[in-house]
Order: sequence, then structure tokens, then C-alpha cells
Amino acid sequence: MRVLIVLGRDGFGCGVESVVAALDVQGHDVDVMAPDAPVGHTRRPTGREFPGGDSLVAARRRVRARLPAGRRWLAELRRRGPEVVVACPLLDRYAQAVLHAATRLGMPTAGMATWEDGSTTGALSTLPDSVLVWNPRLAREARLAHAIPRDRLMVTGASAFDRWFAGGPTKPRAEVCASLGVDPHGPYVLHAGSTRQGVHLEVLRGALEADARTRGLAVAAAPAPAEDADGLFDAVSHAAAVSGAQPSAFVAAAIADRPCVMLAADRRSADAPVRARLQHLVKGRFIEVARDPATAATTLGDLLDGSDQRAAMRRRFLSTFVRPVALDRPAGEVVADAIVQTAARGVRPPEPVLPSRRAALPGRAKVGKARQPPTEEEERRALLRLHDQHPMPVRQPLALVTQVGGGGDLLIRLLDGHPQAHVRAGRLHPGDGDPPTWPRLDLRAAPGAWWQALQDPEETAGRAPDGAPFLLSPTLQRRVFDHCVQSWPIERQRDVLDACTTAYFNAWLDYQSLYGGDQRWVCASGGELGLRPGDRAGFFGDYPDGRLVAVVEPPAGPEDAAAGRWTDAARALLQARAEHRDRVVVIDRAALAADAAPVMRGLARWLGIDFDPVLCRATFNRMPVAAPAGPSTRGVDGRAGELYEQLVSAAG
Amino acid sequence: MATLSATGAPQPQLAPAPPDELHALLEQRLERPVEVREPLVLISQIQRSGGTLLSQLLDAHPQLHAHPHELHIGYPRDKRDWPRLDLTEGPERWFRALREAHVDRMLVGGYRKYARKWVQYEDERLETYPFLLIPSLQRRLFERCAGSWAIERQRDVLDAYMTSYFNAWIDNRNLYTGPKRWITGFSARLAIDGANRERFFADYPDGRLVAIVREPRSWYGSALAYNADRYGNPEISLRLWAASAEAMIDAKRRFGDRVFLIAFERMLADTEGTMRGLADFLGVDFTPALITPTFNGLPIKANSSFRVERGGVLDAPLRRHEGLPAEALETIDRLTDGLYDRVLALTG
Repeated sequence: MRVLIVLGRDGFGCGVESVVAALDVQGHDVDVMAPDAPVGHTRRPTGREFPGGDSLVAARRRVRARLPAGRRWLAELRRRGPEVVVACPLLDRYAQAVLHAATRLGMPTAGMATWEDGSTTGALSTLPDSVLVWNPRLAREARLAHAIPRDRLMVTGASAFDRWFAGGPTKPRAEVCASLGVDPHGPYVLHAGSTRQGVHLEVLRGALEADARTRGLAVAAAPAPAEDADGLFDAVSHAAAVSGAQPSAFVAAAIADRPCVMLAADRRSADAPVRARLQHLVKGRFIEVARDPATAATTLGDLLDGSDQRAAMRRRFLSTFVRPVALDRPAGEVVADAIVQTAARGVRPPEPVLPSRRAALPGRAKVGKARQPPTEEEERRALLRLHDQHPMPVRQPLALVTQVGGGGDLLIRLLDGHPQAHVRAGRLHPGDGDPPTWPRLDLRAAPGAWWQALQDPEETAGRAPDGAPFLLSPTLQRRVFDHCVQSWPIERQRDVLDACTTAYFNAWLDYQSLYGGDQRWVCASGGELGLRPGDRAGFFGDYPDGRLVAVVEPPAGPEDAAAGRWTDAARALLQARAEHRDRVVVIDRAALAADAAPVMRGLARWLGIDFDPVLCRATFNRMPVAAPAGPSTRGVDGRAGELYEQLVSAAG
Repeated sequence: MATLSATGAPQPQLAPAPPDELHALLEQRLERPVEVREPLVLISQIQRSGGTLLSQLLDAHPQLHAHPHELHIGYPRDKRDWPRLDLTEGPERWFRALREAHVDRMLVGGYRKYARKWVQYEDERLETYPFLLIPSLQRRLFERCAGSWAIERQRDVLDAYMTSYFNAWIDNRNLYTGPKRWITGFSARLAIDGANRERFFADYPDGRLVAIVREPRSWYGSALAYNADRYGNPEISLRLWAASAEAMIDAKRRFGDRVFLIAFERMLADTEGTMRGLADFLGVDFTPALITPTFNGLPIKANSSFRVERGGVLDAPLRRHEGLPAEALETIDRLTDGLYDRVLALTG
């Protein structure tokens, strides 16, 4: 097969040598055509000649494809008679003119894109049948910048660097050091700077001298890659590290497995095409970017000490950016195969008419405003994405507010809004028992069983004091719970309870205290939960660091049907107080209603949190609400009266 | 853990919540929205001057509704214009004009403010913060407010918009705390244009304008690192800076006590002092929240053009001019001679 390779302005920078060699090995007849004289070219920052969407760019190319080609190129192509024409590089006025002529003559065409073609070089006026790009990232850039159809892109790897993969350095160290003017017995840093190379080289030298670890380290200026590519690779191969902002030198360093340091100032002073290349390298993450010369010196000092943390990233860069097809296969071979494939496929149909679509160009903010809003399903998905995989863990100990008679709900409303406490909206009511009992979970059971045992159907119903909004998503709650129990080690019942609490507060979408603050406690009202001996043991078993806060209200009177229950609760509280004196506190509901400040101040001190005026205001999720109704005037006498007096005196 | 994911990308296998559940949740907010009709504190000056930092310092203050993103309510062009609405057009057109595109984007990807266009450090996490603003709820809230309130001035429409924005932001952790005194919002460059300033104060005669001035060398160092293509020419860039500085002087002269100027360098070196001054100016309490940059209450790293090692307010931006070429420094000095000092003299 006769292959015509059209070299543009700096075609040999595209690594066409290895492509020619590979085609030659395959037995193809390769003809190379280069311009007689340098051809100017125009750089454009966006890759498009005018502001327009893909459809407009494609339409313009279709029109241009119908224009007559240069007679000189038509005659030249007819004379040479190739079966496929390859432009190298793709975005070159000369190469584009020849490609256009080849298209007019019905010859299959291919273009080899370089690593700056997606961002900084000129517009693509003729679309070849195949566009050969180094890697998927550059393929994406080519689609975005030049509206190249996806099916015309072929990923081949960068044949430009095949020569450096061939083996080690071509010259011995002594010879290389002599040419660089450095001591062959000591390490040196190879500085391959940008246009201000001289300035930054001296700056770097100064910084190295100022750092004790790098004092005396030689710094050599690298040969220019365009003038002496092998010399550059040799110098890189023998260097301790490579610095500066020369893209080819960094690629050579990745191939030679040498660490790299980039000085931010070097990068800033580079011109736009170089910065575009450096952008790809920085994204490869194998280069240390130093914000100033001192940092560069520190980094180089670390490297001299043997701390080379980016070695793996260098190899990854090579296998993803330079040779994405196969690291051990020359990219030139892959390019050659792609050219053969292009020829075999023949001329493609004309570029299709694309549906009109406004491109998202800079300065077109109203395009964004005109975009369709998300669908309802997208909104529902987004709802679940909130904290879905990264919940805010709520694993603080529980301050369980229990009550004898009543008053627990008032206390919980006063605690609400404190920046050091997570406060549940409603009563803690694990399971469906009445009255609720402290849960006992079988840790060998499935998470679904734990969820069933702990779920409180009442609380998820969205009820809140005064009709205040309470946005709890049960679906998200369950998802967060499942995530926690799957990702946390579950060794104790406490771990499951923590998962449940985390799920609750993360699924409470408008909960005002989830972020910030220094939460010390989770506070929950449990009614009389926690008073009975079994519950108490369970609570303190799970929360050895927990607290029981008991609010006491006098019994309604001797005739009240609930008096027996009150008495039982009061006795249980006295028992709890005797057993866990330092972890149980008693609060008199009447004192709380009369003047909350001193009571809440004492409670804050006992819990080890700051006193905040919010503790004296009834709130729900930080919204002011009416305080739960206070006790009616009650006569207390007999045994209940004695118990009440005992509890009140315990409250201090 | 504050992040959604390293990339903020949606998780493909996610099953949506049942429709009834979403409706039930949103109905609650729709039925009882918190009215957001407080006057606006507009933070505006040229980019790379600390506007994002200031809005993040105000984020968690209990007496403020802090707009979490750059304010993009501009109309008819884009964020360059203070809105000019036709009050005869009706809620649907008003909402279309004011609606901010970032809402849709952040619903999917969360909030991520990342200044650098070029450099990404390997071990640096791109932190994404949860942000759940339901667009359909915002539209319904806006239509409900604009339909039921007496719309006599553009301000009424803006109030309806702010109410819809802050209430549709479901996970807004600073909605119920109060009482609120101000809405705060940052919009780069908006107030450089004198006509925009006039229209802003026409809509918000009780509003306030806050502008930050940054020392020009330091500003240019940051701008250059942010986008060398856009700011590579010091001559052009410093004219922008000078326009911003002149606008501050003019605003102070024209609107006097309603304008507060802040020196960027002082805000970094003495954050507490600066924020105490601003709190006094706004008549709000000074709280510790004012000295910690946050997003929706979550501590956040700086929106810097340079590598950011930690959260909080940094002092490294004070040295951004280091490493600038001598000729650039010479241009800066020539174009800003005396202007910076004149603005600095007006700062609070």
C-alpha cells in the first residue's frame, strides 16, 4: 500500500519516524511530503474559529469540503497516487490544504493530532476520515474543541516518544556530565525551564544554596528537545531530578523514571501552548508543583533523602497518557495499524448534519439559564444522595431524658438548639412495645432485623410541635443506616444504635444542628423509658458514658388512676439514683417552669457543656415553639408525697 | 466527613425516593415557608479580592441569610446586570429571569468552589459539599409568593425570589434561627458598574454595599495564578483593578454610610477585628462563626489560586506578589499609583 505522510510545520515532533519504520516493516510503501518553505500558522485559544455549536462547526466544514482545492496539491497528489494520506500534525495549514485536496480526489485521509491540538492550536477546516489521538483524554478534548465525531477518533498512543522507550541513555554518565558542565561524581538537578529559563535557573540555584540539605547540589540547564532530543533524554536519565517547565523533559523523566519538580513561576511564564501541555502533565500527578523556590528546594531535599512518592504516578502516567494501548508496544506500530485500517475502510460518508444546539461557550451564562430544570426523578435521586455515602457520624453518648409524671418534653425543647447537643425531635420509642422497652438486639441477625427492632414509626410521620416543619426522609434514613452497618465494625449493640442515630439525624433534611458545633451529647426524651431496672441496665450497658436526666412532676393526686404508675416510676428513679449517682440527675419540673435559667445552668454544668441562653427558650429545631403545658396545681400527700419530697430534695 | 464523593459524581445505581415521600416533605416547606424579605448586603468588587472568603465568613451567622453561591440573578444579560424586570410580565417570566443556573448543577454535583483552572495537586481533595435545593420546589414557592403577595415594586419580586431560594434549599442549616437582619450575597464585579449600583440601591434603599480592596501587586499575583490567559497582560488586568477601586471611591461618595469598604490584607491579618467592624456596621452580634469560613455551617477551605493546606483564613495570600516579574510590578505601580492608598483610607 502506498502511504503519503504530509509533514506540517514541525511534523517530526509528532514522532513520524517510528510510524514510518512500522509501516516499512509491514511492507508498505511510504512517501513523505514536506513544505518547501516554512508555512505560517495562526494560533487560536479556543480551537474554534468562531463562536458556534457543533452543528455550526460541522456545517461550515461541509461547505468548505465543496470548495475547490489548490491545483498545486491536486497535481502533486495525482502524481504520487497514494492510497491513504496522513497529515502530521493534524492542525497545520499546509497539511490541511493537502488533506482537502486528497478529500476532493476521494482518497482516504487520516490526521495525527498532537497534545496541544485540543486546546491551543488553530481550527480544523478539513475533517479527515480518521483522527489519531494519543489517549482518551485528548480524544475528549478533540471532540469538545473541534466537534470531531466520536466514530472518527482512534486512540493510538504518542509515537513522538517511542525513541526514548527504546532503551537507556545513549551516552555514559561521564560524557553527559562533561557536556552539561557538572561533576560526574555528584548528583545534579536538570533544569529544563520555560522561556525565562535563565532567570528561574538562577533563582533555583539560590534556593538550593539556602537549604542545608541541597547546598552544593549542581543545577544544569537542559538541552532544548527540538535541537537534541537524545541529548535531553541522556541528561534526564542521569539526573537526580528534573525541574523547570519543559513538557518534553518531564515526559522524558517519566520514561527514565526520574522524579520531577515544577516551579509555579516557571509555569506561569510559559506561553499558552506550553501551558496546555503542562496542564496534561500536572493532571498526570507525577510532578511535584512547588509554589516558590524554597519549596522546590525542600522537595528536592526530600528526593535526595530518598523520599520519592510519585514513582507510581509516573508509571501510571505512561500507561494512561503516553501509551494507553499497551505500555510495551511502540505507539508507532499502533499508529501504523490505524493508518492501514483507515485505508481499508475507505472514504467515509460526508460529515452528518448535527441537530442544532447552542454550545456552552464562555460568557454565555444565559445559555445555562435556558437549560431544562431537573426532572422530578432527578430531584428524588438528589434527595437520597445527600449524605448517602458520607453521613455525618452521630456517635455521641446519649443523654436520655426520662420523666416521673411528666416534664421530659419541656426539658427536651429547652435543650433543643444548643450547639453542643443533637436533640431528637420526638420521643425515643424503639420498637412497637407499649410502654417502650430498651432494645435487645441479636447481633447475629441481619441489619434488616435491627432496623425493625429500632424503628419508630411514630417519629417518621413528620409530626412536630406547633405544626413546625419536620423533613425526615424515611428512605434516606434506611439507606444511611444500611451504609453505616455495612461500613462500620459492628461489635456491640452500641454500634447499631449509633448507626440508627446517625441515620436519623442525617435523614432529617432540615435539621439545623447537623454541621458545625462541638456536639457532646445526643439528647432524647424517652417518656418513662430507662427507669425500669431492665431498661436501665440495658441503657447503661450500651451507654456506659451516657446520662439519665429525670424530670419529676408531682402526681395528679391520690385518686388518680395513674398514681400507682407514678409511684412505681418514682421508686425506680430513687433506685437508679442510688445505683448510678454520678450518672443520674433529677430535675424538678416545677422549678424548671418557675425559672429555667438556674436549673438549665446546673444541668449544663453537669453535662459539661456551655450554658447558652437558648437553654431557657423552648424551641423545635431552633424555631421558637410554645413550651409544653405545665403541671396543674395538685395536692400531694401520703406515700406519693413523701416520694416526691425525696425526689425534689435529690434535685437540689 | 463533608464530601459527597471525590468527584461529586452521581452514583449510578441509586434508586430514587418514592414520589409520595418527596411530595410529603416538600409540601411541609411549601405550606410554611420562612419569609425572607430582609434587605440585601451586596458584596461586590473585582474577582480574586476575597469576596468568596467574606461570604463564607458570613455563612453561619444566625442573624443572616447567607446566599451560599455567587449571586447570579442578573438580567437581562447575565450576572453583569443588576436585574431589570418588567413587572407586567408575571411570575413565570420573572422566575425565568432570576433563576440561577448553579442550582441545577449543584443539585447533581453538590457545591464545589475551586479557583484553579490549571493546577491540581495530587494529594489535594476536591471537596464537595452537600447542597440540596429542589428546583421544582423553588419555582412553586416563587409562584406562590409572587402570586399571593402584593407586587408593587421590583423589590417584592426579589423578596419572593429570595424566599423561594432559601426555603427550597432543603438542607439549609441556617433557616430557622433568628431573628434575621440581612440577606448577604456576593457577586463579583456587579457593583463596579455605576448603573448597577444605582439600581441596587433603588431596589434596596435599606440595603448595604460591601466591597473589598486588595493590594494591587498581591491581587495581580493571585489573578495571574488563577487564569494566566485572562490576566496575563498586566496592563489590561490592572485597569480592571483600577476600575474596581474607582467604583469603591465613587460608591462611598455617593451612598456614604450604606457602603462599607474592607481591606483584604486586614481581613486576613486581623479577621476578628475586620469582622467585628462589619458586624457593627450591619448591627448584628459578633459571634465566633464570623471568623471561620464555612459552607452551610461546614468548615471550608479557601478558594485560593494556590495550594491550600488547611481550612480557615490563610495569611499566605498576602505574599502573592512574590515571584512576579519586575516589569509586571513596574506596570502595576504605574497604573495604580496612589489609588490604592485613596481606597485604603476609606476602609473600615
